Amino acid sequence: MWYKEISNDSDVVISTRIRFARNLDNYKFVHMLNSNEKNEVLDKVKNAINSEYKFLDIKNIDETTLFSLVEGHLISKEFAAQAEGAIVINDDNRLVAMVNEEDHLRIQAFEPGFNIDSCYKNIKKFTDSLEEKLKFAKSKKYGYLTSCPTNVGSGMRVSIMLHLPALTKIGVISNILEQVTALGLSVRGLYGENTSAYGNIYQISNQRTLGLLDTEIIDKVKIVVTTIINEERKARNKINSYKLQDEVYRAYGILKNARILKEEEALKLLSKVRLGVCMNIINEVELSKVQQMMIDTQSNSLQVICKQALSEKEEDIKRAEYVRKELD
Amino acid sequence: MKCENCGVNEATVRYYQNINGDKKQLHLCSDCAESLGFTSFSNIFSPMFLDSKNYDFLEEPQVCNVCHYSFDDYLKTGLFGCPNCYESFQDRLDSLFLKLHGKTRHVELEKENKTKKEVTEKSNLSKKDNKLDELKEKLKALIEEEKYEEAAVIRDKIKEIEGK
Repeated sequence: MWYKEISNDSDVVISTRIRFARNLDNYKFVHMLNSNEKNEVLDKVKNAINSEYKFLDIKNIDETTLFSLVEGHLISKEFAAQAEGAIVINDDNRLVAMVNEEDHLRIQAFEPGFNIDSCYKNIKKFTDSLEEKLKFAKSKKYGYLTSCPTNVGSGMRVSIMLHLPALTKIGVISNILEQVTALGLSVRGLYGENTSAYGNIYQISNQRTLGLLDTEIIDKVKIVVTTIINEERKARNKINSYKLQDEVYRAYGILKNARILKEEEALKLLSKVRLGVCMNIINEVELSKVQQMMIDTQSNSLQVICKQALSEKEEDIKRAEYVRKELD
Repeated sequence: MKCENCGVNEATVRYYQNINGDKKQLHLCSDCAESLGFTSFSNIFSPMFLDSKNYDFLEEPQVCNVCHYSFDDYLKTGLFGCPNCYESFQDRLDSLFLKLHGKTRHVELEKENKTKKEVTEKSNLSKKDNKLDELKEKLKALIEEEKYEEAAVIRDKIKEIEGK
């Protein structure tokens, strides 16, 4: 899967995602459709995709697997929780579309690291091929018409997932995030509440979609994210010390030896180890492995790997077991 | 009741005055009220609502003619009902989009507008119109945001251009 790969700026950027919102012409938006109409939309999309892609009705996917996709950030929580819909997905999960989420189509392309251009190329190719067969709702005045007017126009959302432990540690993160917001981009902490995000993982996306060329949106995100990457690297140089090395190795030590590991604790420790690996403090473990564990130690993903349903207590024991095995 | 001033026409305007507790009430016909200068009070607010035609949409609830979704429904859910809603609610979209996106039109049209502007650069008239449309849009948005002071500045600019 792509999230195990290491790519451009992987020391700071975990992944890049681009999402297009599209709707079929002549259909009401999803929340206004009855079951029959929803099925018609599913059929139309199913018939429009080629054999490269799998079409999975979410009725046929068990809940744990579905929520493991949420943990991998491939589909939204709201989508996994609803009864109807389908997922269009390719072999390496680089392209994942949700059918009948808030819009008829939420098409997403993913890349590891900071790779907006290849993401855009992939999503454009897939969406163009669909548009040859399906008529999307579009107006001259407003561009692509979406269920929620916050997406109208390009329907495009570019999201970059960043690991910013050093900026967090030196205490400038909220200042930086405020500035990013002032520039018209939105920021959120990925785990925990916004103000007390744990794991030091943040997602930055464009907010505006109307009256802008795709390339203008992309350029803006590129400039802002590049600046943040550089700031994070500078901050990492500043905090490099014996104390930090101790912190990293302690985190590694716990992960390697713990018998019970809670989900939140695992992520916090992995965040420290990730920093250590990227700063060459620690060489015992590969970055791709850390990246993989950050996804796989989450509750549903872990149960998919263990191929069994687990109680909370069992889960914490299995998590510790899994991490020990991976670090062995 | 007849007008207390001319005593001929039916009184349609009631005027109250209260100066230091000295209360006075006058019943006037609209002609007399105007000639006595009383109607100018309602004009205090009128510059804010430059063109009442623009506010017709406030009177009746707007419903999409395809999916019967209303603008109130949108305010509750944050979602539109169908692609046609964008057509049905277009009177209200410019100010909404200005807030959400800082722009009101899809980029393809914006580009067209730009080229159009370049083509007609020599023609002062259309240039004026463009500017005027832009200002009127801005004014509408500002009023909706209740930024009346800024709105007044724009209103004066519009008057100035229209006057030329």
